[in-house]
Amino acid sequence: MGNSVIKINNLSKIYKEGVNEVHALENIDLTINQGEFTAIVGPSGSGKTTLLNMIGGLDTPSSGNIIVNQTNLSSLSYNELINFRRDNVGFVFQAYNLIPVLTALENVSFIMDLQNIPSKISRKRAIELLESVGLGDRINSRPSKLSGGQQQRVAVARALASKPKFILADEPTANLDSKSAENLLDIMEQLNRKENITFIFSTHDQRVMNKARRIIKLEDGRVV
Amino acid sequence: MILLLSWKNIWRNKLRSIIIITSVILGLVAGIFVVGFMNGWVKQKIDSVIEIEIPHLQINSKTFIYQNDIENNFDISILEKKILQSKRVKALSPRIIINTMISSAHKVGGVQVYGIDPVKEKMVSDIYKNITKENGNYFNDNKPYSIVIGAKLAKKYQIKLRSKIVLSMVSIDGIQVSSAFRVCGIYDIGNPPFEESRVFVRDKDLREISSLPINRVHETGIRLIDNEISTLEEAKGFIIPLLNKDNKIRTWKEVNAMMGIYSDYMNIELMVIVSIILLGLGFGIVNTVLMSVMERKSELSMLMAIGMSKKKVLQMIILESTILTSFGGFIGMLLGLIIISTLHNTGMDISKSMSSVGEFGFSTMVYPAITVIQFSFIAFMVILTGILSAIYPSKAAMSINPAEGIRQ
Ligand SMILES: Nc1ncnc2c1ncn2[C@@H]1O[C@H](COP(=O)(O)OP(=O)(O)OP(=O)(O)O)[C@@H](O)[C@H]1O
Ligand SMILES: [Mg+2]
Repeated sequence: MGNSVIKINNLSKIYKEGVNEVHALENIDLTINQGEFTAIVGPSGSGKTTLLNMIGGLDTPSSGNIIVNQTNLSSLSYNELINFRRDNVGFVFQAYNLIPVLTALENVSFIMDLQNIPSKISRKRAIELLESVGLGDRINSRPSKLSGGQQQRVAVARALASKPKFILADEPTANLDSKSAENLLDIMEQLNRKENITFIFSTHDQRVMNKARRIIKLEDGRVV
Repeated sequence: MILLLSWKNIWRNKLRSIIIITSVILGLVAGIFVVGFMNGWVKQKIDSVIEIEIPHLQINSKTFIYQNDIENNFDISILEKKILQSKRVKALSPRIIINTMISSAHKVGGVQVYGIDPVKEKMVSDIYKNITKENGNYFNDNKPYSIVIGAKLAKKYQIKLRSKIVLSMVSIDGIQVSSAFRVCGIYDIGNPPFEESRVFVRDKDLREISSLPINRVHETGIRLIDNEISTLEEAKGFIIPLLNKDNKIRTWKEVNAMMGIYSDYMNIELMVIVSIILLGLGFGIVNTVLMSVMERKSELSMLMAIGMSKKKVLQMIILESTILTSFGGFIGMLLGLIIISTLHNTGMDISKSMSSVGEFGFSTMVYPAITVIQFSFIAFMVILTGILSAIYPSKAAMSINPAEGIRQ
């Protein structure tokens, strides 16, 4: 197997709610390698979203380290974290993935624009990516004119556009019917196989889990 | 791309965008109109005061200013020719001013009688234009001992055209003298206090009664070629060296302090009014933009999550309100200009809405006008307010925690 992309050491996250402390994650040790297709599973409240947010630099650990390609995320400032996310992480969220006023093409190009990639190049790449997720004929549609499954596929294309080190998808199929969910997973798996892109996704769905090549099971904030 | 996104965001909630554009337009039009109206109103008042009541410049002996006694007079003969050499001076009118008792068949009271040369006085004051046909004229008939009085005085003393009235005064020799005059004209300038206190007779008649020597006067009124402040200062500068130490020259602003204040402090007053308008406008825009930011919380969270920097989010939101404000600003400027220039040409009759105005000596026709500086200042401030008002809401947008925004 390849080299490690993500190394997690003794990671804990405690949320304080008034006097209560919620131990969302406790002493997690994990290594994710280049080219993995990994599912994080576990009951609701087990800490899946928290873990993915930590890896993606959206939230900061209470203790422990996350190292992505030799960079310790704890050492980054707020602004450095934004750039880290832009250049290293592809995000697919459960909802609100796309900018409603922009077309599919513009949504995918947008992230490359944030990276200051010339529009000619970004446009070409966006079209290629939309074709690779099977939406070559819908590039000029706005999100509201696309089905939920199509929207999530645009989100996958957008996540790939910035050439990230890995893609994080937090319950990407939660709002989809089973057929669209399967279709999305197939596309993700294809990209993983062909382009060796690392995918980490969380899910409740048994059929989605079945597609994963590695499963990390969480319970009460611990890996089991 | 940020520009494109801002542009598209604007059309997301058309109603809201239209509200912002409309407030900017209204703010600008209101600002331009108020400033224009005030300019017109004050200019109207100043012009009519200068043309009728107080000349651009007037010369008195210093003692006369504090006490209007008959003996506080000065010699005009040489001075008159010297003053008229100034290119800024249009006309000059020497005046004898004496406090007298006036008595009609009904009433007795005090007035100031002005002894003037009608030909010269007509070139300094437009009072003669304010006598209607049925109220006689300004010394047109060559009858001696004629008098022109104000409408208010005529009413109060029940004096009619061609009535006889008697003026009593103390002559230069300290003797009580009196003489009868026949009313040849009644002027109405819409300023009752003025009309009640000033009557006009020929200087040679008054000189005869009061035994004031030839060439001795109490005041010289000077009319200049225009109403510009620069002309006023230049003319004053020209005349000061001609005066001896007992005489004093005063501008209309110095004679009527209220009018001076009107004209000097008007810009400050206008700035206060414009600021109030801007405050309202700014408050409205802050609220509206804040609402649009809060509605987009999830989306903004997503944008920040995938790597859009705070700076770019700020840029996007400020750009949105800049586009709206500039658009509204452009229309508002155009509309304001059209309104002002139309009203400037047609004039506004404010007698209906402000019926009390006429009684205080304000003319009821106002011709709004605005200077380029005032206009650009208002436009600049309105647009600046629009842009600055977006800063607080965008700061609010940046305090969004992307991780939390996404969870919702
Ligand atoms: N901002 C927060 N403040 C306080 N507690 C939080 C916060 N975010 C998450 N938690 C708590 O942390 C724990 C883990 O939450 P998390 O969202 O990671 O679970 P999850 O596995 O993603 O659940 P689900 O399957 O429902 O999405 C939960 O008990 C949750 O209530
Ligand atoms: Mg979750």
